[in-house]
Amino acid sequence: MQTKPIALGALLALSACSQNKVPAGQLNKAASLPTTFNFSMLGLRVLTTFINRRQATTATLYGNDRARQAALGGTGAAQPGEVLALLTWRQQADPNWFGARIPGALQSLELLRTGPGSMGRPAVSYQYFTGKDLTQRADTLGQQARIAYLLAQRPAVLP
Amino acid sequence: MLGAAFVGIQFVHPPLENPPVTGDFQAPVAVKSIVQRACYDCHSNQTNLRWFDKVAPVYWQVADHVKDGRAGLNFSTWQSLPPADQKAKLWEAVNQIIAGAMPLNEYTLAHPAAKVSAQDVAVLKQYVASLAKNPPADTAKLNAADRQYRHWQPGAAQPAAVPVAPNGIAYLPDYKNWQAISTTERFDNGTMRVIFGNAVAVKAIRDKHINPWPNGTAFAKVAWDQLADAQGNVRPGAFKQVEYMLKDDQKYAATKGWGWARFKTPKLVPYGKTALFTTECIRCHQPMKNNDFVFTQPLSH
Ligand code: HEC
Ligand code: HEC
Repeated sequence: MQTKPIALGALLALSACSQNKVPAGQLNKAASLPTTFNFSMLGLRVLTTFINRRQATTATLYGNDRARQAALGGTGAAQPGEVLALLTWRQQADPNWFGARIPGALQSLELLRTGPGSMGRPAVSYQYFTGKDLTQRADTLGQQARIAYLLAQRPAVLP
Repeated sequence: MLGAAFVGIQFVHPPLENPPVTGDFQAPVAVKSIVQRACYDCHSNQTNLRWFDKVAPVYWQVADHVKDGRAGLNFSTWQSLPPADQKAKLWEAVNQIIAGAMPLNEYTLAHPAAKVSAQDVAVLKQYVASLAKNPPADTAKLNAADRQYRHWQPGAAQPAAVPVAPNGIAYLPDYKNWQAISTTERFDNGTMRVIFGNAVAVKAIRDKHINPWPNGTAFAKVAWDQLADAQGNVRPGAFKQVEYMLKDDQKYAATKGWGWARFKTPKLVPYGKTALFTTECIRCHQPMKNNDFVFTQPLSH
């Protein structure tokens, strides 16, 4: 009879510190941007975020203050000095929560800038980078549609 | 001597009663039998104590577990939960099992029959996944989002009285200028989220010093309804809440080194009646305890 509580107590003490194999201290490497790109130097803020269920991608739209003001105005008419950036990732299952998907492999960055133009319409430049190294693509196919899409997005409510 | 003490404590039995079952958990038989076998001893009013559970001091611990277990999740009063909360509890339950946090290890050591096998987990996962429905947004959802957007005036001055959570943590408007360290599509509850990290968090990510996170780290997580169209394009709808975790291992030692707060709706209504609301946060974040209670795997820019 004497040993019983001690044995049980030891059992309880032992078991309290075993448990769980959750990965610890890990960065999301696949989704990270190449440090050499210096994305944060653009000084942009999050405007909104998207999911495409068919393509299993997720994207975050960033903008500078001008782009944000223009998007909030909702006119779709671009002003000179806007910068918009759309980062797109393939999704992956969240390793820590069954029921969620998080960014996986970095897929692309679209970068739009407006500058002084002519006849009251700003000039728009559009750059397209792909892959984990964000290599710039030269082809211009579909560019006008992407510019129109980027300029048409409404910011998410961020009180 | 020890023997006498052991016999002595057997008379100290705080009562552990089984209150009536008012609305039992309903699910397909395969699901329900797993939950009954593995969880009901602590999470229902049908606790079945075996002889060894009735021996103090084990009994005291068991009684505590049942008390705490029932407080957070009680399958015997299940029908009193709104359907959305039932779903949320089930997803939480499955995640606690996957992470190895439930059923409690000290319990399965003594009750091996309550162990949840890989096959059981598959059954439970399939069941909760079948509950997740994320149809294209209907007019009501679209209208709610539009109305909210129209009333939102991002340029307007902040209200004079900054909202404060019951544990004293104030809403921080500056999160909007922090960096997005991740995003999540939550198909369990039809929301989408952005997780922001402040400058201390971003530096910690760059230096790869994120377990534990340094003092001064702050996270803000924003959740919106999903607005999906028929093609599966999803954008944020109504803003639901912003939640914070502020790291200070001294100041917040009592709550795992983090200050927790949640503010709901664009009115930023503080969540929780008392400072104890943080137990809810901590319990769900508990499976991440070896990762400083943080779920997010941050990405760097
Ligand atoms: C031996 C008792 C015991 C058993 C068996 C047990 N739990 Fe728990 N559970 C607890 C206790 C105690 C808590 C309170 C948190 C803590 O102390 O860890 C809890 C908390 C939880 C929570 C968090 C509730 C909240 O506050 O929102 C969930 C979810 C949960 N348990 C699910 C389960 C599931 C699912 C099973 C069966 C597979 C299970 N538990 C089996 C004792 C138990
Ligand atoms: C039912 C489970 C659950 C509860 C309860 C919960 N959280 Fe979380 N929390 C999560 C999950 C899962 C994530 C990961 C991001 C995501 O998928 O939304 C998370 C992420 C977070 C983050 C971003 C940092 C991180 O850990 O990834 C903050 C901040 C946060 N939660 C705050 C809170 C606060 C404050 C409360 C209580 C008021 C709370 N949470 C309650 C499940 C929960």
